[in-house]
Amino acid sequence: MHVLALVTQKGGSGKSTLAIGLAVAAMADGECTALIEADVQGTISKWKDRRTGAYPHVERVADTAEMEQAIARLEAEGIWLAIIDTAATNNALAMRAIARSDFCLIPARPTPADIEAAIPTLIAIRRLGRRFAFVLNQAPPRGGRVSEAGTSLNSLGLLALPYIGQRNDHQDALGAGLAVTEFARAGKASEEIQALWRWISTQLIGESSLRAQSVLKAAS
Amino acid sequence: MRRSLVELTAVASRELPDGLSATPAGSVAAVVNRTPRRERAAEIQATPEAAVAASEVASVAASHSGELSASDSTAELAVKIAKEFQERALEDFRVSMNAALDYAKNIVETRTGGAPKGGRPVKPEAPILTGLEAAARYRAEAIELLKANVETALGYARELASARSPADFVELSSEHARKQCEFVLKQTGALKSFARDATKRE
Repeated sequence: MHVLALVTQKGGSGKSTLAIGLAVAAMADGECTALIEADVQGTISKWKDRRTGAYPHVERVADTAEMEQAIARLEAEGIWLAIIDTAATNNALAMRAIARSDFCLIPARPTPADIEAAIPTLIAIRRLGRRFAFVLNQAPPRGGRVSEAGTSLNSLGLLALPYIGQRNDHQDALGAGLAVTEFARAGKASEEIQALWRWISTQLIGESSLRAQSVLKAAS
Repeated sequence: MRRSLVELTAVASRELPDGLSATPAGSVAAVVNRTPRRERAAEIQATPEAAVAASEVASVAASHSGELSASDSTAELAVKIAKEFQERALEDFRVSMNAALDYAKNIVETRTGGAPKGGRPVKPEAPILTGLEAAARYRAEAIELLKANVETALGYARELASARSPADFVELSSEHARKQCEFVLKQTGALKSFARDATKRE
């Protein structure tokens, strides 16, 4: 099972919205996907309450022991991808999410506050030796600021592509208990999320094939 | 006047540990020892020692985080990270050691024709003994490495308590990362020589 963690101590950067968007995009791709909500704010649980479908499965966890149990349970159920949404703080639960993940995504809006807030998270991720990428989120439609932010994030580490634009579809979908790819299938927001999911899946699959290679090498 | 995001990021990124930006620390260890198999870890015979050491690390780290002022978020974060990292490193180490011992056992069993129960082995040959010897040697060496690893971990946790500035943290972190890498290299070397000893008399 792959574990993808959305982390950054900045609130409002779009961790939960991206987690939902990516989970549903992965499901549409035929992957067994589940969400782990490690955030007392409960954005994902509330979204799930509004949702009519049974999937994706959502696990709420309040501490690290519960997180371990949830991961073990999902793995036993044959889930291929677990996406962990964390709270906007560097608490023990967020640390555990980083430690248990194969890949961390750090959403950041093109603001100094978001980029600065990503630094402690970045230190934690590097210390724990996890792979990561930034996602430039809620980017304005055009202008120099977006490319400036892209350059900034790229100087700190890998930047996922494409940027996710600032669009009402994301919020409207959340309110309707849908993901943006279900809410406005042909919209720009939907396109961007799908493309971002493809980018991430390449990262995840690329990593596991590398790992398989190292195992084979060790065995021979 | 507006300062560009690029400039602000450059300022903010000065907090980042230099030694960690080129190669993520622990990535080597993560690749080598990544598959967590908790149930196996529990079986290993070296567990009592390791468990004591692990709890010592945890308590050292915990007592330090208690001493830290609430505003000292970098040091607090460092302790948290160190704790997580050590727990994981110890567990991974035990698991990989156990896997290596299993491997040794399998070799021996294969050569005795599936470990006959009650029946005499057909031919108690020298290569079997060599395999056992190599396994015993590897195990002894692995325990030494584990001890050394735990000592570094403890030292790191202790030193972190005195780290009061981001600069201290950077220095300690890169130093620890270097030591950690050396252990992984040493462990890999031991594994290699074990594999060579165990297989060269096929």
